[in-house]
Amino acid sequence: MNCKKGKVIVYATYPALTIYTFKPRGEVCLFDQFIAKFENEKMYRPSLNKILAAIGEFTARGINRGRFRPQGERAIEALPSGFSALRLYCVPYGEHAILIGNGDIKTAALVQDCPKCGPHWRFLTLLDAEIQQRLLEKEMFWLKVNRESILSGNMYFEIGDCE
Amino acid sequence: MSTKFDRILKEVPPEIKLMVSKSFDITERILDILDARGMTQKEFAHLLGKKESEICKWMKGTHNFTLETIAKIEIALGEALLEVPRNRQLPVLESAKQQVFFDLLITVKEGRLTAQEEIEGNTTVYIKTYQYQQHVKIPLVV
Repeated sequence: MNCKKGKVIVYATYPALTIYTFKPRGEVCLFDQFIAKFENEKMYRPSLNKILAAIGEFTARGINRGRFRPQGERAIEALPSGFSALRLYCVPYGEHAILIGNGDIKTAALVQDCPKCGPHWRFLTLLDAEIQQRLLEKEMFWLKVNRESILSGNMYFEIGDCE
Repeated sequence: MSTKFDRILKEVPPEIKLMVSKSFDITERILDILDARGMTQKEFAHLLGKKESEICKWMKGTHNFTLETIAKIEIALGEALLEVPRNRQLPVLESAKQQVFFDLLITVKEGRLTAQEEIEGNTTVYIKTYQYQQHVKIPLVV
């Protein structure tokens, strides 16, 4: 995978959810890249609308853990859009935080085999693994501010072949 | 500061927002029932004759449930997922065979009023707001 340098940023904070995303150096953040890619695509705009409406619900309700994989099983999740093949990849962190990456049209049964979605899924997988490692080593941590937990510490990453 | 997400979310048609919100309500209700019974999504999928991956997709909150699917889930779980409010007033006494009409004088007190009538031990309470004093005729089943 090509080297991608950048940082994890707080995209926005809502009553029940803080959205994090990755901002590659010199580019707009991944979540905005995803929206920009499909906001003017007539065919996929209805699917984008559904995904954004779902995120809107999360911002008001928080994330019910039962919505995603069985407890304790860490995985990159795809927000689907009903019957459409549009996917947005994300990682929920508990009930009130989510890391949103990029996404695309899924054209293969397995995301690993999909030329469009695969790279976004792989990138988020590597980024999440690095975040987990940093949380273990306390290079990153959840900082309690009032009743909120804010992801803090070293938020700069070099993901992929960066030698 | 408003984000791109906020701006585009504002453009999402209200019917899509409401559909997704109702899908969230339905799936939250399912999750609550499964949780109360200690049932896994795999067991729930088996109960419905579906793949676990399909149930996982439903739970993400963007699935457009058909009434047929909801009916199948309600039967499988033995619980209601949807309650539809009814406009028609239920009779005071369901077994009643006679209708009695009477005048009920309603007086306004600070814009809100309560009139109460006792019919053979069954108390019926009427609460309604009127702008002026009037007589109303209310059909009653006793």
